[in-house]
Amino acid sequence: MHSWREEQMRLMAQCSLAVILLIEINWMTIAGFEQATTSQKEISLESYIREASGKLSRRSGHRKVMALIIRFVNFGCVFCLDDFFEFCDTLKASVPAHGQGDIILMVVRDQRDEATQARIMKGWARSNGLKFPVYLIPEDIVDNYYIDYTSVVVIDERGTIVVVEKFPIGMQRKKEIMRYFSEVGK
Amino acid sequence: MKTWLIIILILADGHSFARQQVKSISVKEVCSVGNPDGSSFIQVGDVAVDSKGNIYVTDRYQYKVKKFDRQGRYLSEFGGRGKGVGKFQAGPFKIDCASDTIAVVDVGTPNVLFSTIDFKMLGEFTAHGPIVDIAFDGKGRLYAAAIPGGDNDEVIKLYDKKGEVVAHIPLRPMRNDLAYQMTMLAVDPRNRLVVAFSYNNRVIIYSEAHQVLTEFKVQGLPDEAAAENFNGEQKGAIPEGEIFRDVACDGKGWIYLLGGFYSRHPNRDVYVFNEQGELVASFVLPDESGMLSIDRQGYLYTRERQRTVVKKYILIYIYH
Repeated sequence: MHSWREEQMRLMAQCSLAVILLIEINWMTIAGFEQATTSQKEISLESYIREASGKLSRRSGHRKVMALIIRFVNFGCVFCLDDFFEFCDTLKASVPAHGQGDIILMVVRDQRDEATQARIMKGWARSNGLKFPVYLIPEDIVDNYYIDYTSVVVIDERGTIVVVEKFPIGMQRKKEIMRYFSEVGK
Repeated sequence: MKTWLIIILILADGHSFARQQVKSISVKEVCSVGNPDGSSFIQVGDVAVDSKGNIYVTDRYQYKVKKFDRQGRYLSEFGGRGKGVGKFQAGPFKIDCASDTIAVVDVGTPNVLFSTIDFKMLGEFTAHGPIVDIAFDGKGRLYAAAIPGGDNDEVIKLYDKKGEVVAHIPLRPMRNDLAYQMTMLAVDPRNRLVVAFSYNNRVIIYSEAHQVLTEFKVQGLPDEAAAENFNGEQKGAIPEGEIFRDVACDGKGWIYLLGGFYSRHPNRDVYVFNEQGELVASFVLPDESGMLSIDRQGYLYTRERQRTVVKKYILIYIYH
């Protein structure tokens, strides 16, 4: 398991380099790698997720929330995207609709042109059958949790983070996450 | 009237005019490909044109290659996300067309897919590294420029349609950082390969036998892009801004270089050189574009409006 994980991380690093050099580098180079200007140091990740989810469900204070946090660096990383989509496909199949929690997509806001990034990400999600609501999350909130790759974050009914896993995720762990998310809270 | 007369003469015998001095070049829009509201594409990648003037556009976030007629009207599409035949794992990226065969690169990968212009899959092959650009030669073979790394230390190779390496193109890098070895490709009507570097002010013209004929630079642009270190990796510096965004050749053998970050009008300045590496003229595109393509009939294609539309232009040459 450990060596498999190391191999995955090596492949991800290679993919990331290819992505950075090839994909949308015009955004990065023209924008100069500007960070999100809005300081969000006062807002925790779990609060941000809860707030986004609250816009979906009036029962937000009592539901689990699964946030699929997407980092741009993984776009074009075949390996990363494959695993991400596999997880989403399994989610759709195994987690009942209107089940025990909300599932949202959160795209890390790391491009200067937020409107274009939002448009592209929503179009991408729609084109790939991802029907989860899409939100932008400021990069510094995510950075505070060392989430530097596309990851899944789950908060429980009390709003506490219980899962943080970066893709690729092992099959066994995926099952555990799905099972937890599908269970009725205690 | 005078302009149209000049255009007619150019179309009638473009080659002879190549030897005359150009006073200026401009573009006139012929049509726009895609809905004006930007709903046709999430993000245009690259453009190719077949012998009938049909236009092929890659949209990696839709994982689709879309086909339009010469007036920009939608015809059909293929693709989708997946690992099956005709699918893309990361999304379609670079595209080229020759002898009514289309080659499409799966972005960030060494994979090239071949299809007919009716989207019948012909096969695919794996090149020597993540592909940066491709270009068909006059014999239906495909040049692929890749990012070197691992066991591969070569940038450009020539492949046949079965994926067998036909030739290795000699390329002397200016520096070892991977990004600075990224190149864009074009093939002129005499089957000469033109290589332009993304992050170096350097353009090389090769003979059909892949010997260097000419090497030149664009005056007024820096020799290379400024760099910042790529934290946490041993892959070298990451440049800040492209010197060139794309390269294309027209029927006269002239080379069109789309300037990048360091140009006076970033992503709009186009520098036109003859086969001797002499500047013929330069012009400015109406809108920013990250790619440039010229078809056999001499029409120029760009992607504009935040990559939501493709524009087709006719080139207008004013001679002394």
